[in-house]
Amino acid sequence: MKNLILPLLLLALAGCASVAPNADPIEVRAEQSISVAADTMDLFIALEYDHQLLIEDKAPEVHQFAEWLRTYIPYPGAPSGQLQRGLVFIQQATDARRTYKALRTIENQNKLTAALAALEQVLNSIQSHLLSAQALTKPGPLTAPAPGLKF
Amino acid sequence: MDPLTIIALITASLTTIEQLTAFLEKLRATSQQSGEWTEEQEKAFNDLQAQRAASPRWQPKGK
Repeated sequence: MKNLILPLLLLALAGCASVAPNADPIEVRAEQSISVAADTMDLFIALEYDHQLLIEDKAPEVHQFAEWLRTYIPYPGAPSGQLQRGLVFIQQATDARRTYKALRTIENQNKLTAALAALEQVLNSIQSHLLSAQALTKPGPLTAPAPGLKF
Repeated sequence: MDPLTIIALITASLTTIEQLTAFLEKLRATSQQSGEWTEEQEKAFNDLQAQRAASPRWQPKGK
């Protein structure tokens, strides 16, 4: 799976369509980055949730990382004042993007860059754990059963 | 490896393929984006994130 996901992600980023003449490239690339990060994070959470018993048993560190992302932390923008940690990272980048979009100053651009960098760090950890989780669910071992396998 | 584990792995693999397919389709669509999000797209992203936040898979175990 490692051979599939990472090249596809790189391909997707490298193969991004050119930015329309009336669009701000910083804004467009930020939207793309946040969207991909949100989808990747949700894929990881869904994968861990759907195969929780297997992952908890065979790769407890992956389960612990998923729980870390799910943990509620204070976030003033949420109706309850709290939001899951992973979603806070997405929301903080989104907030910075909206601030930049409303007022395109260097200062706001720098804040957006910092928020995206923080999100990228989390994404790197997610990708690492996602590969571990996918390794548990890939069908590879089933095509070459160990000698002495009994039914 | 016992039969139940094998069945669990096969089931896991199939659902994983479906999830990956949906993910890659969204990735392809995102990579084709050239303009800034419209208000509708902003709202769609907000709604999606709100749905995710409320979904069972995003709730900590024991909550």
